[in-house]
Amino acid sequence: MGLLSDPEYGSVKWVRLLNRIHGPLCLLCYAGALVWFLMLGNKEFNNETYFSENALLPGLVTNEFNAEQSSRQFYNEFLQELEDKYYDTDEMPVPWLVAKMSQLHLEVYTHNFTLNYPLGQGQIYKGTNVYGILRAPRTSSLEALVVTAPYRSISSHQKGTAAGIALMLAFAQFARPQKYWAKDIIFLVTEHEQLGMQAWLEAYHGLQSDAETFYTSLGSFWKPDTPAFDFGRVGDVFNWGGGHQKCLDPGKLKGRSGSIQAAINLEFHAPKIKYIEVKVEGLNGQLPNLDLVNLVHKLCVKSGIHHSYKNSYSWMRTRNKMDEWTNGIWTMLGMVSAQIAGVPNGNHGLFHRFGIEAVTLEGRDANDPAGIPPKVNALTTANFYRLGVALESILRSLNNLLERFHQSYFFYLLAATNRFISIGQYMPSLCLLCVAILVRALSMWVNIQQDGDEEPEKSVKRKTSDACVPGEHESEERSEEKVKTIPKGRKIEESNMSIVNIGANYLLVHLLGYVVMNSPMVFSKIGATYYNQPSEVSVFYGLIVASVFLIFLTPLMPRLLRTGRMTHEELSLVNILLLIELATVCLSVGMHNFPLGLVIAVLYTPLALVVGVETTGGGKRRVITIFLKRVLCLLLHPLCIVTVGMVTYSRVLFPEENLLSMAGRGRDAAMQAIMFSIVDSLIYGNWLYNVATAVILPIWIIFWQILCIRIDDTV
Amino acid sequence: MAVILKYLIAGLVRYWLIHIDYWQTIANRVEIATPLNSWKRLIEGVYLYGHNINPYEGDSFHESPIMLVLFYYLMKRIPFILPALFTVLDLLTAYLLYRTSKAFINMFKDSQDKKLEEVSEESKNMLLNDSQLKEASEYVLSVYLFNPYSVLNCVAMTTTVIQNLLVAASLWGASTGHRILACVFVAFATHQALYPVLLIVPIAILLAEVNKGCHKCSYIKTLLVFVLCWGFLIYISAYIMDGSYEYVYDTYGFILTVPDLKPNIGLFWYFFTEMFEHFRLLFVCAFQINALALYVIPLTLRFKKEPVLLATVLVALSTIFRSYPCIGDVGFYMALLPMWKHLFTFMQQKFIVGCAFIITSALGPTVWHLWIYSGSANANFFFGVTLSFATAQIFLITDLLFAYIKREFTLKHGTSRQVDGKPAKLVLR
Repeated sequence: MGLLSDPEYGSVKWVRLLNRIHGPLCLLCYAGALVWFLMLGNKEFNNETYFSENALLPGLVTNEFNAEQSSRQFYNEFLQELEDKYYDTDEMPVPWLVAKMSQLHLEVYTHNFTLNYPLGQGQIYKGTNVYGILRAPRTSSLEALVVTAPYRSISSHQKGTAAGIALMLAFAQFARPQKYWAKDIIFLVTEHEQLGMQAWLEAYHGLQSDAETFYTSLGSFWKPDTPAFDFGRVGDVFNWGGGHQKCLDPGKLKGRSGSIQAAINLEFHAPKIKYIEVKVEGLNGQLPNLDLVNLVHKLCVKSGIHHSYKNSYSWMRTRNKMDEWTNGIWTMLGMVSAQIAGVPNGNHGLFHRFGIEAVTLEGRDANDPAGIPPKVNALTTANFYRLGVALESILRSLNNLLERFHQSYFFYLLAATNRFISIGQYMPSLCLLCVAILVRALSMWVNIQQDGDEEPEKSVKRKTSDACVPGEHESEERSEEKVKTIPKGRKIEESNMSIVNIGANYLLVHLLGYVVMNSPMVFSKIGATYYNQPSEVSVFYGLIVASVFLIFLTPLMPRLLRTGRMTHEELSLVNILLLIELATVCLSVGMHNFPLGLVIAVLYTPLALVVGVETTGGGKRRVITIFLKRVLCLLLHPLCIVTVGMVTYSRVLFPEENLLSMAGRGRDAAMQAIMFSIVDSLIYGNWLYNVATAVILPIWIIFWQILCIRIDDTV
Repeated sequence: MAVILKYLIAGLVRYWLIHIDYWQTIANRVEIATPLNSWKRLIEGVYLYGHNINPYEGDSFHESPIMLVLFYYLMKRIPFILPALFTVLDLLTAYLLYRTSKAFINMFKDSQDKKLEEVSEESKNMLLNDSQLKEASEYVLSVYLFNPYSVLNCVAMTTTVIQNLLVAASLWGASTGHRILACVFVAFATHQALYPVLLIVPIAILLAEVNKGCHKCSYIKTLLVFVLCWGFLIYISAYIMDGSYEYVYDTYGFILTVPDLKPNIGLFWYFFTEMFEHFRLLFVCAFQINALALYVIPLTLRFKKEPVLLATVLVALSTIFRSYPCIGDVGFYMALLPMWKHLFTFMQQKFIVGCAFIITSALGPTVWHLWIYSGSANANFFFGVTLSFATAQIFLITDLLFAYIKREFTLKHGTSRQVDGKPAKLVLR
């Protein structure tokens, strides 16, 4: 029971030690966290990937894919069709797709969806998906696999997906007569990229957003015309905040299959590609089961297709340990940067939200816009046959699944196509950052207790004329209890008030964050009606105005709320609470989306470590340090981070531009980024924007308050 | 004025939260609603009862028949009043706790005056004064009214609201010396959730202390009244269920044998899903003894002079170790803690416990979401969080007990803790 018994005797030493070393200790934790993260790229610290799910039996079948002829034919016909009829429109060749799928004897359906654009002047977008279901001969449509390809028009600035669609159709033709399918296969072509995918998934799973209220939960007990006073109507008055309406109307599906086990998204613009990039990052940074990712990589190898993940290329196997390490780090950083925004980097990402494992296979040429990998020109190009074989082996492997993917890892980082880092290995780096924050909080907590000592110590001495000299051994704890047990009446009143004040300030700040979260609609409306600006401009400047307003207003808030002067202790308590909240947020966010949590922690831990309660007085140096701290704090304002990040990013992309145009480009990019995050949050349920405004912003505001209030210690 | 404002704000917050769109989400959270107390199951049971189907025949309803009938009539006649009713009941609980803490604090004062000559000279300034004591009960009120745990519990309209009211009422009855009242309420609470049966020990001691006279006679009287009340309630319930005692298997039996392993913040579900079936009985017994019997006797022997502390600790321990705990129970015993404000300075693990409470409260829903909705995490994550939540609570209770002993010791022997001129160390044994 060592932990639970009295550490009082040791506590003095312990407290002094903590006071002396908490600064270096926190720094050490911070540096340790970063080093730990970088070490993970090293081969010694990560693991070779392996299959946990034995049922997959990857690559054990003899490949029979023989439809390369027809894939070429589909490819040419499809391109011809686009050239002829859809050259200058964005529409999808629905009739052609339906006709082709019907000819293959699939069950073909179309699916219409509507988007009421949430910001702006109520634009409405419509779209159509086409899908065909291959019913499994061996079971009764209880489970399904999905093969999907997004449709991109010729005028689109992105690479087309014609070869992907052609391959899909050819594969359907090949798979149709086979006897071994135990799961239905759904072949899906979606319009408008992720929008179509999201709509189809919502429709497939029959999502509805109407939550049950208390009165509807009463069921037959509740009769709307019940006599006496109607509390329900009072409830409507309370209900002003809940007017949430859905902007994406997914419509209805006419045909369905069973529960979807896995999905493969194909993005091939041409059959002659150099290598396949396997994309895994999904909505809110969610990842597919590692088994599926391994499966895809392994079967690519088996079918003789080169494959890559971020900075790791299957054909580049160096023996130089240093190179391997740096490659690993770059791959991890690539994954981190892809996951932070929480935006899926392919249609597969939307499946994850529904508990479906999915990956995207993107075909890349030697001169792909994503970057030119080394030695790419020496690679043999793939063709429809190899791609078809790969797809066949993947689907036949998935066909063997006996239960959903549940083994292996869902939380991991990839350091190469065949190296991974599990949650137990990467979590310590985030935990170390949180420990740094908490140690800081602990040292403040101990200081509050001690600060309280000194003053009453004197009064105690004065009161007790006895020779009750506190000896060396007397613990701080005990003297502190004297403080607490003999405060004057006035002091009690004050401490009581302070809790109310702290609580009120806390609540108010978080409420402000909530208001900011819901403000873009208002900004967009104001911008449209009074200034005739597009919504991204009005939202961006609206948020800037709101931030400036908050920067000037919030430091005054604690003063407005109270009558007496702010005490050192009170502000320290706010600071401690804030640090605990920050650590909690980092951990919780890190559980969902590790890169985002890590980045928040890496950015805000330095601020958390330098911010402390400032007292008035002190020389010039003091003033300068406070000024520097405030500048650091301002730099870490969420909006500022986005803007600075975007400016830097555009600098990296276009290094030849001069400063002014770079800033302009960065501003435009920031506008777009903010707008996208808001729209994503409204349509897809990406919570980056919500976290940034409703959680990070309030935390930032309280940091700012603490930095701006200087306590008068002399009174 | 400020007090009325507190009640008003707390009431409005509860009432408003019942009417927001997220009510359903709140009411179905595993942390708040267990198979025992959830509103959904209550309504299901009442519906079945209304259609002349015995609700205990299925596996959906586990409340006591008295509650069944009570809510049947409430829902039949005045369903629209229920949100307001739950709010008012919760406010009433807060009020009763406030009164109870006032009475208890007077008892502290009395016992302190009695022991005054034992207090060593240098510890005199540690004695409690009036303003401090007055403040403590204010804190009890505020904590119950604004603790997110109790607010959410009330908003989800669980039957734990009523459970808390009954326990608060019985404590209040005991603190003011109303034997019948205290026994009736504790019998009611026991009838509803079984675990409050532990409370009869501190209540008996309290009653004996408050009503001066023969202690042994008082104990016997209290026990007798309690047993009679409980028996009567069991009989009434059987009468409601047409003379059949089958319901006992679905209420007490359900609590004791833990057949429903839906995850909650307790420690039972995980162990029992992992366990081999033929060891089940053994482990059920072990766990229930831990929850019901293990701590009563040693704690009673040690703290028989301090029935209030005994009551606090027993409520807390039975919350931690019971088979279907929810955060409403946690909120209830947390409201009792401010009575021991004068011990806080002796507590060592305040910071750790505080951090653990905050972090686990945030992480619990997070990993639940990852497990159930995203399908990426699994049961171990959630259990890990609930386990650390339980550990934090145990730390809190142990720390409180030890702080009490330390204070007692310090009062008697002075602040300089020395043995033969060397600094000594207190150890909890």
